[in-house]
Amino acid sequence: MFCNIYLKRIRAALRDPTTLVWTWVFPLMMATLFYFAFGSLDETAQLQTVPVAVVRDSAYQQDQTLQTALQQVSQGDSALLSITYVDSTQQADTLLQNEKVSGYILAGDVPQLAVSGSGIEQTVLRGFLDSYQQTKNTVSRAVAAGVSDPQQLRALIARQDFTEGISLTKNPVTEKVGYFYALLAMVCLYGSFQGLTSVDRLQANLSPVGARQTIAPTNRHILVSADLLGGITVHTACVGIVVLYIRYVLGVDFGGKMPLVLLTCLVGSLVGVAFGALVSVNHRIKDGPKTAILISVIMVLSFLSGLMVSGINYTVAQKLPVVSWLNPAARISDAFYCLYCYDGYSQYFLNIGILLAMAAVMFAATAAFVRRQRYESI
Amino acid sequence: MRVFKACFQVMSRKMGALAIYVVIFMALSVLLTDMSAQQLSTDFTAEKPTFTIIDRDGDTPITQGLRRYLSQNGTEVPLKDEIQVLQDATFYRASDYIVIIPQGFAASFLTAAPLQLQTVTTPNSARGYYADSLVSQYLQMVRSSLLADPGADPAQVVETAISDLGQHVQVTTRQFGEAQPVSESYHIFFRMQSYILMVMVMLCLSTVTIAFGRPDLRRRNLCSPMNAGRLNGQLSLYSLIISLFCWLLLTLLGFVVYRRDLAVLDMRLLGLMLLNALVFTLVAMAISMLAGIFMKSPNTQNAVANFVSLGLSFLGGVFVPLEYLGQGMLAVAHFTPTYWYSVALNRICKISSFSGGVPVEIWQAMGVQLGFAAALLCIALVMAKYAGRSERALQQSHTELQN
Repeated sequence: MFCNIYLKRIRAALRDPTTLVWTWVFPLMMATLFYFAFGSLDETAQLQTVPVAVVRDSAYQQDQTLQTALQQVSQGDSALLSITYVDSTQQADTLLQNEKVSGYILAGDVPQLAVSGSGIEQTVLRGFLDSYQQTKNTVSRAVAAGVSDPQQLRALIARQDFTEGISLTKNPVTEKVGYFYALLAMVCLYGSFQGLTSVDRLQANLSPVGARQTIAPTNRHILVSADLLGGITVHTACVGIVVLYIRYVLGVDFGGKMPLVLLTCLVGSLVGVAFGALVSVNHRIKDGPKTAILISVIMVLSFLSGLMVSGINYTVAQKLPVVSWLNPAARISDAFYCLYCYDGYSQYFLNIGILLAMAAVMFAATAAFVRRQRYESI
Repeated sequence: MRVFKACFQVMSRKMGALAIYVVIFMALSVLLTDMSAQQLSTDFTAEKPTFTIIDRDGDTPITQGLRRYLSQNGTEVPLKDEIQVLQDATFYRASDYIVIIPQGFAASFLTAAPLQLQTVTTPNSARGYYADSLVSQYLQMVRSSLLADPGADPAQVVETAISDLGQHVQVTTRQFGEAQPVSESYHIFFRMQSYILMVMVMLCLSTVTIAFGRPDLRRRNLCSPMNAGRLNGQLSLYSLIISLFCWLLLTLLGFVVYRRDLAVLDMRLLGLMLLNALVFTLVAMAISMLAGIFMKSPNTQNAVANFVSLGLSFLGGVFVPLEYLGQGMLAVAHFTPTYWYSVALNRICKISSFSGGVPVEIWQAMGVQLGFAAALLCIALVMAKYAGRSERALQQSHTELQN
């Protein structure tokens, strides 16, 4: 009997076009959209060459040091500045107003910078001029103090490498993957539609199929578990396909631990189905509002796990850790993140444990509501 | 006006679901704005990168000075010296620049080859680069002073270095025009509004119009003396009123939440922004009416609404600003109304003076939106008229001949 119900439930789920649209087509299209939308996302905060204008007035012509300094930072592949030379401040103003340059430099005893707003490019420009001026001061002080040995002077301005960049993770740090992980968390939670359908079809007061199932000469436990298991199976398969699509067609990295990624999908789907089942047991709410509740709650949970604004999950985890720990979407995306970023598995399995506990609590609550129900009239 | 009245009756029966959507999405609009806003000013203020110092060398005057110097130019984010904590902070951009001071750094500082500080930033990060140049500049100055005068007190040297480094070249801010710019958060609130408007209008409208798509109701309406034109006309009128109501709600929400930003805002700019949103409301309505044809149940309703609104928003620069989209994406984005909404909004927010009148690009972008609205509305009405009469719509996809 178990197999019979289980297989029928799977067949029924596969023939339900609306749920299929939700759980298969929608995520696949969203993932594709993300792929295209976030193609150049990681470049946004990167240092590009800063466009700057230099006014070639008489002060500039006489200032050999500034000319050399500017030349040094505007040459080569890793040039800091790309310089446009102009002959008057008016021309420089025009460039600035049309946003062709981030600022312009006026030579003088102490060089000046003109900008039209604030930003990292303007700050970098000022930083360059500050450091130029400070080095110049150091040298002139040394000369005034009687240092004349060119070797010693060169030592004063020689650039020493005080820092070396290191990477803390094996996999590159990228903002992109966070969006995909949050999307997968949302898809997992969409398993709630399966939970909704299952309970709907098991409760005699919710649907005609439910009434029929209730009078069947089958143990209620078998009925419920086979039905829910069917829903979980279908949904896990769906999340699995989305994961495979994201991994192999779109080429998003999961840190190379596919079996654990699929385990996360399974556990995530479990929570999703449990959540749907729990919302569905209330027979006073109709189908429409139930769906509205599911969608809205999942939307908020996904938002807090970084679906729309990346990094939000981190902020929430820092400021309101309880909310973050209780948010299944954040736990699911964090589990994916652990696999991508960490070498150890303790945090990953902590996430999985919490998710399993959530599913258990929600299934238990659902069971408490639906067991031993008798209907006076339907 | 029977249909029109019936719409409101259906609406009153579905108040629960509608209220949930309205409240959730209004809250989401404020949340989304809050999370993505950064303060912006027209005067020059140096960017302040966030930094973290992991000191494994114990407190020495040099590292104390480094912390003080960086704090003047950035914001310190204290983190525990644990690999996972540091990984998280880098990954989620909580700290632009993490510098690890290795053990024995102070002891080796004046030798020919001092130990290097380890730094962690995201690849090619501009803020990381800036923080790194600050650190190098500071260490360079302290080291050369100490080398020049080996007997000096390190604390004193650090003190002098910090005050020397605190002197900046003069920066003048050139202002072109007189109007106050739009505050960043109010701008983002409007940017997000295209998503919120779309999803809200679509869900609120379809919750009611779905009822008219039910096969038995359709059959009844088809044999009534009211022709399809009048029926659809009244449905459109209802849609218009609900859409305008959504726009009004969001506008009021913006007034309440961002009242402080409004105080300094040029009223003409505000007018243009509201007009732009209003024009987009019409687009949202047209999209909803077209999408409504494909909505048969609460389930498809949500799927269609979410897919269309999220899709158009991602494509049209609502969540990810247009500057960040690739060339290919931008080419596609031209075919979405959200793109033109964002373009008009960005242009409005850049107006610094009204001396030359309202820039023509703004009217163009609004015109394109109106064009979208008109085209979608026509398609929707035609489809509603014909698709609604097909046998499939009446749940009879087989005819005698096919059997």
